[in-house]
Amino acid sequence: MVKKLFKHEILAYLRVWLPTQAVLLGIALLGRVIQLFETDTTVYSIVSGSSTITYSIAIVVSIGLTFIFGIVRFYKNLFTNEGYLSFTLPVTPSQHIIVKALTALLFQVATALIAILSLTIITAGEMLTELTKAAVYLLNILKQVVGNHLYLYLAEIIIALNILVLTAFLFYYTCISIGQLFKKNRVLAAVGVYFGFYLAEQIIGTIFIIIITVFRDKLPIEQIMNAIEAHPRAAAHIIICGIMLIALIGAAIYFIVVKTIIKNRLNLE
Amino acid sequence: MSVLLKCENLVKQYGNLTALNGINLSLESGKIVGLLGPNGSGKTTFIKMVNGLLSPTAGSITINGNHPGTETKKQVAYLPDNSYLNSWMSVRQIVEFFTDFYDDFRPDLAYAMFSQLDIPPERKLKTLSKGNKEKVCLILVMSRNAKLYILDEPIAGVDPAARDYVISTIINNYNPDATVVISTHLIADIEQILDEVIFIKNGNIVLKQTVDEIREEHGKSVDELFREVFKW
Repeated sequence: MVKKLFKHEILAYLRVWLPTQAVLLGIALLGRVIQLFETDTTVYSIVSGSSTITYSIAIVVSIGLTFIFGIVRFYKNLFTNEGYLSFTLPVTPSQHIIVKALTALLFQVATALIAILSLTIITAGEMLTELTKAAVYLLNILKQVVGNHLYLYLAEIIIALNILVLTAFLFYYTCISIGQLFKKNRVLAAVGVYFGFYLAEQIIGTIFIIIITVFRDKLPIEQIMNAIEAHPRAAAHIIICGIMLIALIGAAIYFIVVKTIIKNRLNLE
Repeated sequence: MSVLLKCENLVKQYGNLTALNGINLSLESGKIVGLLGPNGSGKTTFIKMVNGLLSPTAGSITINGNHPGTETKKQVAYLPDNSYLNSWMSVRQIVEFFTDFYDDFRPDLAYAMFSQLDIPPERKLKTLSKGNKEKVCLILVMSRNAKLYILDEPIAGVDPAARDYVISTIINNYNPDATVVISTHLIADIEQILDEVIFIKNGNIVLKQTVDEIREEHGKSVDELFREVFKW
């Protein structure tokens, strides 16, 4: 059933995602074609400038739309009239949540890859060669500093980014699901829940900073700083893995909240 | 006949409001049952609970011995009282969707019925009229070889001519070993196909009898008895 859910989820995404990405690649290609007619004229400067701005906007819109679609799809498919079909399929709430979150992540990654492809298209030629050289140069410098840890760092960062995106989607799913507990204006309630979480996060962050500031003499801050200085490479791994762990714990909590609401408190309008 | 649907002391409360007040009910296989009651009597709440769309506050509900869940969803074909299809899909895509998820779905039967209505498979659902959308929903549900069909207000939003189509689609296509529960307040239109009726009022079952028993004991049609029981 999970395979079938993935299939239909991917089909639902593709009808929105494919045209968006085609437009982005088209704008990148047009931008590259414009560069072929490079001259010192004002007209060229205006056209070239406009195409660069359009391309920048297109990248932001493409990534933003995919992200928003991931959230809207969850709401629409589960909590509007479509929910009457989704929740009468022989599928568990966990399967629905997992498939929704993983598909959203999959398309976010695909969008990032298309953005890189579009950048390759618009910079094709001399500029791409220069950019590649700069990237290789930067990697070499980093390799000199951190040695073979570089590849591990890159792998860890990529995994951490994926986990963070997944957690972000589950966080929005949680806001939407808590919004469903209200009798009326459920979307508005979900927005309220989002700002509630944001406020709570700010308060907790502020309290954390105050505690550190007030008790700095009693906390082993200096020892921690010394340990980081003594073993910077290991410290970097620990920090990245720590972020991953915290994000995973957050994802697990969000997942449990959404699952519990769907399983026990579902009440479609 | 075996008991297909069983409710024991089924209660549903929304805050202070009691939508279902300790319902006890058994439905056997092979019957067409009318779930009748005015608006707000608890019909839709009951139906949602059978389909696992609501959890009971107390009591239990079982379908073929299973509590609502993935196992019962394989056996229950549900027609909600609103349009629930993804409107961007074509008729063919929604048929493929049903074929993928329900092992008992009969796509050939569905296509044959769409053809009778002159609805081409490539037609997008959003381009269909409201009446045709409702017919598509009904066809999809009745194309399943389910054990229990739950139809919530299947004739409420359609014109009298279309009601005949809906009723004939139900009686011509349901699995004869299955039970069909039809929730409606338009009793006169469906009375002739019902075997049994359940009257539900303020979250309580006030009557459960066969149509023949009603005619014999009360000397009235179901519609007449309904008007008497639910008189304002």
